[in-house]
Amino acid sequence: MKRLRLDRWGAQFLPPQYQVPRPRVLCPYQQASHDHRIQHSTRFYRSTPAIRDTPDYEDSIDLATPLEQLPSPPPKLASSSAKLAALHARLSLPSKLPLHTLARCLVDASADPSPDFNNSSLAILGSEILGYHTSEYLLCHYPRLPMTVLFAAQYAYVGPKALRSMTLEWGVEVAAEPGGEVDPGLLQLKRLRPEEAVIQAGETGRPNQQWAYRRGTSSRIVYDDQFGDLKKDATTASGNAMVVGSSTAQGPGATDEEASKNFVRALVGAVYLHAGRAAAKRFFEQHFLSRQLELSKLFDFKHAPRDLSRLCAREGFESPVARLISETGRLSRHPVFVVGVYSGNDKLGEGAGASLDEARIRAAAAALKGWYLYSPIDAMVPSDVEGGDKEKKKWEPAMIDIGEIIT
Amino acid sequence: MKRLPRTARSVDLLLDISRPTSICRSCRLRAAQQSALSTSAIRREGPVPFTERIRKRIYGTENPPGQEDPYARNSPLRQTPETREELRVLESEDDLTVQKATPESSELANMYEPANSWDSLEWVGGEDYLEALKDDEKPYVGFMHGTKVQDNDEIRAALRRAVVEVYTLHYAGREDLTDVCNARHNDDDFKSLLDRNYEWLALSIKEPRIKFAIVKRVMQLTGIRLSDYAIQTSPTVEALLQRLTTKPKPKKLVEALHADSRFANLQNVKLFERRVTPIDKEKQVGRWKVIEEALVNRDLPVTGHQ
Repeated sequence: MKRLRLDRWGAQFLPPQYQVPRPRVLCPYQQASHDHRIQHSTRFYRSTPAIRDTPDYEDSIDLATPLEQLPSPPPKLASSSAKLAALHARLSLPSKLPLHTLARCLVDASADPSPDFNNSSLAILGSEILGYHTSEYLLCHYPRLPMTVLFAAQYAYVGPKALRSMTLEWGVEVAAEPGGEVDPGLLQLKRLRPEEAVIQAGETGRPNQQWAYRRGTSSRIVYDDQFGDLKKDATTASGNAMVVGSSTAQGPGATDEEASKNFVRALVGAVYLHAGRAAAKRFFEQHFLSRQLELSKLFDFKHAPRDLSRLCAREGFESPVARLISETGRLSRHPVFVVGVYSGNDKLGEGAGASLDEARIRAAAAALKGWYLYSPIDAMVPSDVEGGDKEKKKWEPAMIDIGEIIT
Repeated sequence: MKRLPRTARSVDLLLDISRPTSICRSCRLRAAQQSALSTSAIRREGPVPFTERIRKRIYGTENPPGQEDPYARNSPLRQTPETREELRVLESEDDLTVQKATPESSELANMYEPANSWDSLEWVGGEDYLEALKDDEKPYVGFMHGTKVQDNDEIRAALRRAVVEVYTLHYAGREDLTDVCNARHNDDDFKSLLDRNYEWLALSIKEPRIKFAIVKRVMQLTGIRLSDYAIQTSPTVEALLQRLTTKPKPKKLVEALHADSRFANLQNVKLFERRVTPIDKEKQVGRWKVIEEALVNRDLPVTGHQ
């Protein structure tokens, strides 16, 4: 099978002389108020990409065009932005990643609808990379996680809320209004206006979605996104195909959370394209896996004792028996019972509760968590042996569990 | 009863009749009447001081032995023989002036006529007065060059000339090297000294005589004053030249910062040509165009007052 050369796909992120010139669409905000300037302010880039001696492809913009009329800052301003350079240094980004690409990562599709200047394509790539690394980490290190917990953990690591908080932690500020005069180091988005409803009418990709069927876990794996949620807008998720054609059309605005999510994803994609797979994985480990997540708190059992007995039956253990280990204040207002769940002579779990039943359920939940949260020692992930590290490490197949208990 | 000593009053000047004065006699007489404020008459001590009379009475003779008055200002105890001789000469001169002045003052007093208008009076002060004071035949020429030399080449030529002249005198064995300043400069042979050979710049001028002469000469030729600190911290001719030819001062702070190479390599530092105003800050976050449009829609002034 021929290997995919993703880095060749990123030719548009290379230095500008290798790019195919494209027309730049003006900011509709300014179109409304400065209509008289519009007819001469729309300029097209050179029609031929053969001229490679002049690296500044922004030269073709009419110099008389005010920066305010551009929907996002021209790329040439990126090298003079102090905020951008500071952000680049603060994140310890690889030096191969130029400031121009970092500036592009900060332009949301709601600010600049042109896919040549916004971060939508980078965000798609970065989303896949983030999802891949997160899911391989979770699957290889916690092979018995139930699917719903896996979705929740994925959401906690690389979900929109996590990425939003990471953007805040990185010190990325949001511009009040997008435009060409804005500092390229600010996150640019056109904000959702208060009167605008969040349009959820997009294609979810599910069959028979008009019937609003119950979404089972299996169908969530097949049809929904990496977090098990409905795909909100199929057109957005499938590469902005609609936006490319109608470049002047302004879609609804975005929220800070959406724009931050796209920025972080685009940044990961940019690191991947410019610095390679290893750098992208290192960036992921340093910024995402370093965040502590308590997986044991993601569980929510409805019938823990029954799940446990099913599990024991499936695994061939003796059926679990709850035994009272100790108790205090049985006749008082606050009694405490400590109950252990035993399978034969092996104690599977232990729990304390105010009643015997509560302690028994807690003990069963603890036993289930002990089973589901099993983590093999020295677990490897597939990306460890990808690329040039093939000689150094040898792939040890990851443990694959037969799955969770379905009751 | 002895009269109490009285502090000098301005009117006392009028009372001294023996002094030659231009004040008329009637005014002086009136002043003398007004000054007679004391209840007791002035008791004249006469030619013999009180202490002397006491001494005479103690000794019982007209010429008592010993010093005349140990506390007097002119007491012989306070005088060295030299000062005593000087004092004697001065006193004799005082007598002469007094003898001269007395007839003169009376003569002047008789000739005095009060002026009725200022036309015939001598006029002192004003521009015409200063013009009249000027001596055209021998105009004043200052030691230093009239205007400061600005051209760096000219300054270097002047310094080279000063160095050559001073070392010439030095090797000729002249004692006073500052004689070079006696030659007045003329600009023609001044410029011709400039060449592209810079070896003379490395000359040491640590010897104070030579350094003083060179500095004096170059200050005379260029009109540039050097501070003591600049002179002391210039061990060579080149250092002196650097002190003389200062770099042009940048007009704005940002020019100086742009010239600083430390900032050129810092990407996270941005230098602005002018003050970053609140409008600039709003523009940087993109809010200004919104504000501007809202103000225009409401017919309000965008900047300033209406």
